[in-house]
Amino acid sequence: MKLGLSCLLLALSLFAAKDPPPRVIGPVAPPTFRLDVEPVLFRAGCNSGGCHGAAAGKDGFHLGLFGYDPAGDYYRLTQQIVGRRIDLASPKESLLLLKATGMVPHSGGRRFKPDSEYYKTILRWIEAGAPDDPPNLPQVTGIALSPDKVVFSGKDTRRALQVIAHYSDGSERTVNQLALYLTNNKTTADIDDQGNVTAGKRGDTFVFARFAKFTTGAEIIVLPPGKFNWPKVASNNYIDELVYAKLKNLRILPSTLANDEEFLRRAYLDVIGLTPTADEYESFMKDHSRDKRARLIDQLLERDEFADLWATRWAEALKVRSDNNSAFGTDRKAAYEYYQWIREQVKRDVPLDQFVKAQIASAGSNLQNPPVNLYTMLPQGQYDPKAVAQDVAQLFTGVRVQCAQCHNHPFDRWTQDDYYGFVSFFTGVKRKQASEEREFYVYDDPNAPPAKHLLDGRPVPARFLGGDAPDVKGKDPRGALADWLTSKDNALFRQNLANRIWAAFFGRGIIEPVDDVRISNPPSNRELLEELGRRLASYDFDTRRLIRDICNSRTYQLAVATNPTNRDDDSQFSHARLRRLRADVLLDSIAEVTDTPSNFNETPNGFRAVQLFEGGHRANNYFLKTFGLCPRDSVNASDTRLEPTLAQTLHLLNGDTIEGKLAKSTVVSGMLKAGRNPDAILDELFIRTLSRKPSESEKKRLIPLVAANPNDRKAYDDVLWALLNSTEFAFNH
Amino acid sequence: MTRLGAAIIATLLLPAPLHADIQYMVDYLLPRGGGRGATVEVTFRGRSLENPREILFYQPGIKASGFEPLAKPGDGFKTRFQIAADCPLGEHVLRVRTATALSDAVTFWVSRFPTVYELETKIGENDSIAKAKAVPMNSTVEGQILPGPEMDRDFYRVEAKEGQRISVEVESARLGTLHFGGENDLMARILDASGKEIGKDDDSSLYVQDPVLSVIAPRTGSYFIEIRQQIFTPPRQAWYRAHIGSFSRPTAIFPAGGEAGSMIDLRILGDPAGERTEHTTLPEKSGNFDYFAGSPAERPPSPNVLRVSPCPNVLWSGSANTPATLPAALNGILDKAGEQHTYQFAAKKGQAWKVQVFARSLGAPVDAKIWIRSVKDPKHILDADDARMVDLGLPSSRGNWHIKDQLDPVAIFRPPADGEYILGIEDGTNAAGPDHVYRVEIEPLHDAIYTHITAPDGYQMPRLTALVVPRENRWTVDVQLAQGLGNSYKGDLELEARGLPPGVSMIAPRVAKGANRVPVQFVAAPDAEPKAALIELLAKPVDAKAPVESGSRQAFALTNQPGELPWHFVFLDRYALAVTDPAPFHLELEQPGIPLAQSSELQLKVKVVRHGDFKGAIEMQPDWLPPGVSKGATVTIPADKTEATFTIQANDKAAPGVYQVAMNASTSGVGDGYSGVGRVRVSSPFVELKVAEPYLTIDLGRSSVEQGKSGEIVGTVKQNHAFPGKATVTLRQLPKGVKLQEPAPQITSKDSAIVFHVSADSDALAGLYKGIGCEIAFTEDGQTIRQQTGSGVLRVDAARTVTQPASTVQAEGHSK
Repeated sequence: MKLGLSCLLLALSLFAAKDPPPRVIGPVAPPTFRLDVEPVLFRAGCNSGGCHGAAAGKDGFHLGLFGYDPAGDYYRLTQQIVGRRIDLASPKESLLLLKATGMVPHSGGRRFKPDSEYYKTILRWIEAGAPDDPPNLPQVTGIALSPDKVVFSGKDTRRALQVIAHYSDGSERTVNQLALYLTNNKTTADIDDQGNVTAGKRGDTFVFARFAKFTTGAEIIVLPPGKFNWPKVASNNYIDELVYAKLKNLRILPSTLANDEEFLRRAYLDVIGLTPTADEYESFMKDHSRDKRARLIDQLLERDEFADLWATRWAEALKVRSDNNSAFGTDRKAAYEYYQWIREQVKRDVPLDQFVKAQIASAGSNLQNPPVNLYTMLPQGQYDPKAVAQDVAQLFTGVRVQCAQCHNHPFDRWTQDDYYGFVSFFTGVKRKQASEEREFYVYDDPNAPPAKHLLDGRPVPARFLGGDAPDVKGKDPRGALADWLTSKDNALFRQNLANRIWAAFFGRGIIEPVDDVRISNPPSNRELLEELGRRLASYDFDTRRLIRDICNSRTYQLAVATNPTNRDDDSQFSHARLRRLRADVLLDSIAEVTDTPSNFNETPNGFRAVQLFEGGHRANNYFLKTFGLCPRDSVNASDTRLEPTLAQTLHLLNGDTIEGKLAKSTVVSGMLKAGRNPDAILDELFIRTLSRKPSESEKKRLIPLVAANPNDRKAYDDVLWALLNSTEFAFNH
Repeated sequence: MTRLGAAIIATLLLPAPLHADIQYMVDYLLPRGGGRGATVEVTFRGRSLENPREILFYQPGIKASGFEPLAKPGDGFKTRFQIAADCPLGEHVLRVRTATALSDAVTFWVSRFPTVYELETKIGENDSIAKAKAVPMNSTVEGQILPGPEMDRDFYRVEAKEGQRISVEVESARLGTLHFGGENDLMARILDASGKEIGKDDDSSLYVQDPVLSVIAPRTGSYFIEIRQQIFTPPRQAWYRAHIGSFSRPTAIFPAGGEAGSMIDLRILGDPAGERTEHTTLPEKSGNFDYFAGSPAERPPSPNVLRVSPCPNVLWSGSANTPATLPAALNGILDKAGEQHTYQFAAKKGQAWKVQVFARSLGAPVDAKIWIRSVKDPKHILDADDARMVDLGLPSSRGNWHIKDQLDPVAIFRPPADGEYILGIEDGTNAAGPDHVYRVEIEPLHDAIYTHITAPDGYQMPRLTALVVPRENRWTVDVQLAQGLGNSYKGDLELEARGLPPGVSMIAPRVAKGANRVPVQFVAAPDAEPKAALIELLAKPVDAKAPVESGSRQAFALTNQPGELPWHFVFLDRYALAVTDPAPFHLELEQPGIPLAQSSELQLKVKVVRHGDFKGAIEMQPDWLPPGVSKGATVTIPADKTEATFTIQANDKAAPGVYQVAMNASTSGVGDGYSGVGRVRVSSPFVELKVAEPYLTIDLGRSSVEQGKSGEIVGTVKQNHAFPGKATVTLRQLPKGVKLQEPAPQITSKDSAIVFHVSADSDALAGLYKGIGCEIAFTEDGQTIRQQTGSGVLRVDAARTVTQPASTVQAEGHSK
């Protein structure tokens, strides 16, 4: 079919400066539908989700989304309403062309001009009788961007990229005029509809081209003008070296090291979800040994609160919540058992691969064998293998495969075959009521048929994402899936888990969001992510060990304050990020500071918010809700909300959380009773809340407030109230 | 809306109280049990418990003596239970008979060990190893998870020798302390002196929510048993009885039964001391058999349940198609995941075999499914998985009741031809283990019909489930008849009562073929002595040639979590009947002079005869009515009146026939009307109620009317049987804006047509209206009879704005 492509080649040679010379011999053939016409419809946006590519079409005309159904498109254009969309007798009068050029009213407006090559391609196809394609037509097998890395520095601010499509007959051609483009960061690099990149502010980003179901990216680095000297910066471990390597390339200097007070508070909140007590503060500050930070990290990792915090993180991701009298196995007892099991795994440092495997391949009673609750909690209702497959992929690989349910993934490599193959691992899962209303058996029916392909209804046998189809005949395919998924060789798994762990300490992942891994969302530091993944696997998936690496890195211990070179950096970890505390950690910190435990619905006294096994689901707690505790409705990492809202501020100012706890608190009265002087009391209040002593200027302003009546707790309460309402308290920094 | 329609809706809207609101005579009794040979002072708490006369036990072994009222007598009383040294262990169901009532059923538990009382007064008294309460090995602790915002943990200390068993078996959900809100799903842990956990159980295969665990003491010293709620829920009353001792606690026994009267070898499984073999002789009586494994000193507090059956055992040989000869009981252990056991046997066309699995119902952690096929054909002839409660011969008046026994399949196998067949059994969830014991009994099918007395909402409600007959009076209950799986007998049935106390007789109408409910009346003679008894109601085929197994089955849900999903059921095989002190009134239901026609209503006339100085109001309603006949809300005969009428309605499918119907009535203004607690109840004698075809039917056909105009609806009358005088006929379900013009037309039983004049408002909504019907009203036998009939179509046309010749108008109607 090389001849059939000749027209396209000729047409493209008009725009593409560096196009290879056309290898055409013989007469010029008319454009083909799939290789010439469909790309025009794609480039012009005709088959996008907002236009005719919508499931119901638009204004009575439907095209397969992004051209995934060319046979259907051909039928709809040529035969669905004969003579309307294509006019063979008078090709220029074809509604397809009149609408696309805006010659007749068109909701989508003008998509291209009558003198454009797009117009000419379609017109020539119609003039040739709008022929369908022969079955042996070559197919696009991939695309490439050339060059795939551009560094802008100095005067150059513009660079043209070429999009090269590869075909199954071995040919290739430049398709700049037919591809779509996008950038991950407009301020660093923008790309126009011809593939020309314009440099912006200093930074590192990716631009992408899409053509014929393929997406590919090119890294764009924009460097500031002038000289740059990389100073000698100490590195604590491999993390620092990989971060610095990237920073050096980008001419960004890391911030200075956080001081001991900042580090202490940061490590406590990140590792165990609590602020350090006054005693813990004093003992750390008095310690002058060189390895005191490393020792603190080791101590924190062994605390039960570490298990509480990570059990809650996992419980949020796994949607652990109940629905009493549930007909689907999500009773409160099941949620409790599942949470307890998760916590036990974290506490006992069960390797993450085993933790995941135990859930994926689980069978038995949801009360007796808690990990089977993966199959009750993820569905939270009727069992749908597609939804569970999507959740499992997103949770443990970070890949969102759901787009590929209806069409091949527009921004990634996943096809519908990948999707339904993955779903087939879960089509045999069955649930049935066991000994009582709350108990359900989860098991696999090895005779269950695999998932059916949406387009043609053919069964798609179980197949790993982007991998092979294992032999699972007569077996529970989830065993094979669990082995593949958690294998040390599976970069998707190890890197996703490493990235999730990383994000917990930096407030953003190296891929961000952590659960949206795709070609068009590449890591901000690929080498770092790969190394973290490799390390995690080589540590036999020991979470604590990777956390130890992270927390001991200088990168983690950098200050929040920026320098002129890293002020705009939001992705290269050149400085610490300000992170608002999670709702539960914030509430627990307020409770700890004021020494007044919180009470939650259906929970015995004495439990911290982070220990609520269903999160805020049944706690009926306004604070947790308002501060965005994960509602556990989906597996999306973004369900934990950390944005500040007016309601949050108002609640802190006027609500009953701080007021109520202050009223009950005996912290101040205890200190007064013990005869502590105002200076010491103020110091302790600052240490309790902010893990630091008040500055001279702060003290100067506060002392007069409390000195007037040094034995009255009211003024101290006011100070404590102000501290609890401060941004410094609500954020980890 | 018509009166008839309103009455039907009122019936549908009758308040069905939440279970938490239902009143019980006995809320709970304490303590929850006692040891064999002990005398225990037991306190009953509830309402309307004045004048206790007798405790009725369903099993022998306990004698109650003396009644001492609480400060407020209605709130309860104290009595003493003498527990015999050979008293059967476990659950004892009992009821209280007072001078005027019989209470709901409650339970009391008997242990083979002496009782130690926890006596915790506030949370925290024994919540740690340091504060653990010392208890002797082999004792039963009666304790409570105290209510409150803290989590109550109870710790007990025992001394054990190295190698000795430490076993714990908790009765808590099983105790059924409260009818509602017990929340007593507990867990148990065994810790060593350092606090290290050496055993833990939350739920068990044997007793579902109640934990069971047994460990071997690794060294001589102190050990600690912790008991608490697994999930914190502030309980109302979470009592427990924890047996702590060195007893053997097998989780399963293989084989799980044998041939009646035979001596068999039993493999005792699940004991941490290791497997052992015991020999025993099975009883002659078929059915479940409680087996306490071990020497007298090491017997567990609760038995393992074995099956006794008339057919011989076949044990799984270890290879496929183990040969068997029917009838047989097939026994195996599914100890490998995904394993399937198959048995081969010969069967003949024309035979019918009942194939029933016993695994989960005996406490084994197996979810069995079975199939049968011919040796010649891989296609299954029969597949069976879970069973319905009724298939197991158990009553379930609520659709969402679920018990573990339902995981055991039961099916009828009718061989399609003479030949060899294969039965396969596997765990449908692919579970396996060394105590996954199953037993499949294959016996010739015989017919069975059980009687049930249950309330429609599934809970105990004395008004509907307790048989309380005041002396010289009568009471009527609704008895349900449950057909066994695969029954062949389809003819009429009669009921037989066994064990009625002297002076009490039963009146039970013959049960027509196909009917599954019957009103049964008990009459206490003037000389009947106040007394409670356990009786049986058995269904007997009228055609005596067909043998039918029968029995009485009653079930109560005793402990419930929110949502009214019960955790514990009590299944009873006898009904309790009590003769009480005379009631202060009698009730007479007047024999209706006319039939109740389909789609019409009838007023039942009731007369009350008060005795002595009783002047109170009386509430009445029939608790049984023929199929297709419904009733309105309870009717009250005011204190100053002696008569009232009660309206019943028949739908268009009510089966014509003659039925026995009685009116039930109770005192009013005291106690609780819904449950009947605190009230005295009596029935009227039966009267005959004839359900007949409708008097007449009216066919309305299709009509039309134009907006702002008048029109006619013409009906064709079909007379079935004559009614006196004139009947007034009105129209029902007329569309908005269309009215029947007054006066409504009247017809006699001779008319064959009727014309209704209707008028449509100018804003009547144009369209096609289906379901236009008639309501016929006439007077017979001194009461107004209302009957509904007809289903016509009325088209409301838009007003025509242009005057055109009539022919054109007609044509336009078809032109669109």
